[in-house]
Amino acid sequence: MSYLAAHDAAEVAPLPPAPPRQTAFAQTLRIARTRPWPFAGGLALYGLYSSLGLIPALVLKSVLYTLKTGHSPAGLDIWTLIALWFGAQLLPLVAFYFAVWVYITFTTLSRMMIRTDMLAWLMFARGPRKPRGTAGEALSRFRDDVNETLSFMEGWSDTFGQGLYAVQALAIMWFYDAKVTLAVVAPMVLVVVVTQRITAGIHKYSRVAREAEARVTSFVGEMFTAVQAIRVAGAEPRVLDRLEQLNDERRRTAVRYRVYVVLLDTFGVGTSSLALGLVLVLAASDMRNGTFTIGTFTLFASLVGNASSAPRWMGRLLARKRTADVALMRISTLLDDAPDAAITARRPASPRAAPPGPPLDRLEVRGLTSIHPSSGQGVRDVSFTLKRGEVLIVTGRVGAGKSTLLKAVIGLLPMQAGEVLWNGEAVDDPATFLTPPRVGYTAQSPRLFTESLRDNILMGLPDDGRVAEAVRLAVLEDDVKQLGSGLETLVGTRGVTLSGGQVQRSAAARMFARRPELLVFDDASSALDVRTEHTFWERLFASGQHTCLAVSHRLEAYRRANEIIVLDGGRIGARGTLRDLLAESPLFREIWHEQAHASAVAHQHAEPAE
Amino acid sequence: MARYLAPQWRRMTALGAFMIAGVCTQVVGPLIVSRFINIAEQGRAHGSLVTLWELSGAFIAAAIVTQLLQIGATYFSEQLAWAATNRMRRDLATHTLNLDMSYHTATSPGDTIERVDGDVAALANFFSQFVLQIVGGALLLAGILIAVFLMDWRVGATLASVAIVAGVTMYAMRNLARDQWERVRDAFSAFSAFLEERVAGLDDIRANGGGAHAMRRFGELTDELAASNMVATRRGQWIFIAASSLFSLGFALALAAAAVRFRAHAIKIGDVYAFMQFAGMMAQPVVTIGTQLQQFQMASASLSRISALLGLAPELEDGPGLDWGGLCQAPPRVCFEHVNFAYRADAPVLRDVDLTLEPGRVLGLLGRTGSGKTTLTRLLFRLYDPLDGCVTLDGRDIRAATLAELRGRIGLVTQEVQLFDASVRDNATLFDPAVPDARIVEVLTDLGLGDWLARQPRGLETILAAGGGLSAGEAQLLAFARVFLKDPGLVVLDEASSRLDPVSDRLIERALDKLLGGAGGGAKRTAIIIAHKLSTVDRADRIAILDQGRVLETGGRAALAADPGSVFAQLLATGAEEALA
Repeated sequence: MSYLAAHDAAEVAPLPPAPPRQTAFAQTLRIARTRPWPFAGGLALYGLYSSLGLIPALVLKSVLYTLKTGHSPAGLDIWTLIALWFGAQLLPLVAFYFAVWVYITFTTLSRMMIRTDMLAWLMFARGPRKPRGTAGEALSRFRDDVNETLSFMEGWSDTFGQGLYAVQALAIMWFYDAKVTLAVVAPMVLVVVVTQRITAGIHKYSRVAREAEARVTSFVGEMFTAVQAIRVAGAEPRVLDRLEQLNDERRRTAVRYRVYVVLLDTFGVGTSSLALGLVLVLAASDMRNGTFTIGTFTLFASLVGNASSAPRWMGRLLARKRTADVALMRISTLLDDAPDAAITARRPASPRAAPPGPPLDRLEVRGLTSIHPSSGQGVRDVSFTLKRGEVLIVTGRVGAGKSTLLKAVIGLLPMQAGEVLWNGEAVDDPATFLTPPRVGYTAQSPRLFTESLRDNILMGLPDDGRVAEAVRLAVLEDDVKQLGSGLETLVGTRGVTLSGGQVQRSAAARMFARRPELLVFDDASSALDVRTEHTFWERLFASGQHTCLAVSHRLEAYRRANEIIVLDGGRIGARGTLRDLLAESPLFREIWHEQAHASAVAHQHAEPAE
Repeated sequence: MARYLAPQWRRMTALGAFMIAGVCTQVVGPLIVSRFINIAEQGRAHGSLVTLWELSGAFIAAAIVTQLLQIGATYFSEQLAWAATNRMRRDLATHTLNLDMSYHTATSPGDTIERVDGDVAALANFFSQFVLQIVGGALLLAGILIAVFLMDWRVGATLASVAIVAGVTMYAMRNLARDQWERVRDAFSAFSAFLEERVAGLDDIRANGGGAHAMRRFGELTDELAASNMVATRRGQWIFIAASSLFSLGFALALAAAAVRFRAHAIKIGDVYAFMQFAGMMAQPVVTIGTQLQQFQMASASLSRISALLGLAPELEDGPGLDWGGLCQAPPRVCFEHVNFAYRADAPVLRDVDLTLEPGRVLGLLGRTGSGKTTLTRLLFRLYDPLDGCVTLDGRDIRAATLAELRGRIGLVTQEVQLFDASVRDNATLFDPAVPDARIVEVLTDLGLGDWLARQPRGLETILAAGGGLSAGEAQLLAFARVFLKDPGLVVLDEASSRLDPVSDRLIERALDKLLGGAGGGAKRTAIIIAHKLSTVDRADRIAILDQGRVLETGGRAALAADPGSVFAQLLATGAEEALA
């Protein structure tokens, strides 16, 4: 009892706090470190591009000076100077071409790395992996959030180039007129302060906008997943109205976010103009005196715009950083307990190859408790032992926790208490250990992927005759014959062209192809007709590989079972062989009678023999 | 696009006004500076310092107004773009939803998301930017050229010819990277579809050790995505480089022209400065037009994919409509008349199926998986049309009814229950706000979901997270609730009870009694029940057994059960044998 009390307390306790996350800056720095040379090279080239941009301004100064005064400092005539000016403008373009080339290579490879690492984490990390939200939302993490992160890094190169330009430009201006230069720097300070305030708004509205966007994406996804259900229900107009609502929400949030972003930009551009205005005010008297020449004025006018835009680039970088912070947070939510470093592994996680070990002798489950955090439903304190060659059937009412039990045993769902033992040894991480060649699993609603039926069954295994064997064990051979191109037929995610039973048996074939020692299947035969189900069990027993843990409420399965566990509200309500249960469990008898009822009434069999 | 922009004329007008005003204030800037220089260069004797300061103030004021106008223009262009593309997304979703099932079968949801959402969002971003950058840029160019022409037509002509040459070059280059962007979008589409499926099927993959295989395939897809993206970006860059080089040449020519005019004393040094300033301002829109053209390539790739999708016409045509009037709730007589059907020409699924079901009767449909039972019901809903023969309700070919009429008369419970990431209410009514709460609660309670509903923290408004918190059995009951709420005259139960344990089965049976008007009762509805389990067809008046698309046997249930030679009786015998453990 004390154990249960402790467990119940744990149930209401808040989730453990998420590990502290690094900021987007630290995270992207780690991304940069994975490919230091392309990253540094790209930045250097951007710096070169910016610096070369100063030369045309200096040449133009000489052009106007020469034009006005009629004599040239370097002894070059006006036409040569204009030609030089043209040439000086082409130079930065060459640098720009290579800068983009190198940096795009860097960002593209980084994108690939992060996405690969994310998927590898979902595939191979220890423990249960259940991405929150719909697959559409997860897709948005992979697609948009990775792009936001890298777009922040693209901002680095721009900011670096602009910063370098500003420093050099201010040095040149200082050389010509220190007083006016100071006047240009003053508004920059103002920009930094106001920018900070605006970016806080950007941070907030970016998150809201992205959430609204994700809701549209995910609803569109659901719509087209459920297209048949929507059509037969004639619900198209209502579903589309709902889409419109979500669309509207997205428009409002997107507009607000964009206006904030532009506000930041405009503020920056405004400051550049303001700086030039200050140059006018301060230089007015000197120009009238002739001490501030038209050449110098031109130089200042050319440099001041770009130089005073440095804070704007900085602000834009900060805005992107905030967006990237949100994006990275959403990525880490998808990856759950992944360390920050998980997305910057040059060599992504790979399947943990546990040593094969001795063959299965027995599987024990002790005190297993697994509760769904939001509904509070699940299984509590379930124990059983399954020996090699035995069949254990789990049955019970709707919501009794049958599927939860199976999933928790093999680590697809978290368990709050209890342990699973393989040949007497506690399994450290069922999710990665109870996999082929030890365990194979068929889900209650299995998924087929958009590739050939053969590839769906093999999922990367070499075909050494195992497909034929698996197809036979899954009683799928007649269906394969009916399909247009047999095993090479392309089947869809939801197996739309395949009936529910065919999808389930295809998934069973996928399980059999792994030749696992323990078969775990969830309602595997529910979609089979009586004859097919009979064949299914016959073949399974003939194969000699029939250690199995299955959810079923079919008579054939009960008959084959060494033990039947009847779940009732998440706990074991009764257990035993078919005969025991018929004799002792009113709950099981209730279920049994219902099942027998059909045949009995139709066939004038009053009661099953007990 | 015009179709979507036209209703937005108010926003377009406001946007136009803001942009034109913005161009005016931008062009005024260099003119003020030019005047400033000309006065300052007159020296202490003639130039008034106060005038210079006034000009400085005017310059600053113009700069500030320009920025305010810019913010206004952004607001309207964003509103415009989203409002227009939201309509487009809705139309596209409507169109796609109504495409033949064969389209949905052949296309993964991820692919469709990429079309209906990804491509349309790309267009929205593009149009909000397009209006501001390309149209705004073009307006600015025009404003600058007018100002320069008024100052000196020779310099103006030089700048104008530079703009024309550059414009023509850009136009010629516009398709340079288009194919590449198309390739990028395709790669992205494949990538999205793959990911969507794998994330949804994560349990199947992980528990069966398919991770390594999935990662290999993912690697191939990201390789293609990366390669296409890099090629497209590099190609797109050439447009920017070509434009910049051209303009540099143009500025040099304009400067030379201005120098000639200055030496001829036709213009002042302040005017030379203004020309340079204007030339520099021309570069800005051209550079953005150059980069936006890259966007344009992406957008036109999106647009052509959207048009391709819109170009797909459903083969299945909506009927002209039948005046069923109040008959919707009445049980119809259902006939399949010599129906032949195949999804692919070489693989017939239904062969000469001929079945009749009288009003208020219940047909039990049996057969091995793949024998065509589900397909038969799909024809009833007109998800597909038969190749030969016809399906009739009350003697009228269902092709004569509109799809809405037809589907309004029939309710369906399938094995796959699709739940939305939406409230319990929306899931039960499929987003119909007209259904009163009390009715929903009543139906859910009748189905035995009362306790379950009571546990939901926000009752009917509780959001059902996709795939979370609802067992398959509960989901199935919710699917029943949808049919009960619809209250149709004809119901189809496709393997409906196969997922339920016997106790819940009984709950369903009881609800079915109510739905069908009770055993031997008022014959409230016609029903077709498909199941592999014999218990499911208990309530059937008639039985039909399908085998490889043919009707193997049909007749009254009692008669068939009593005839030891019938296939049905043999099936019962197998079931009974199973029962005698």
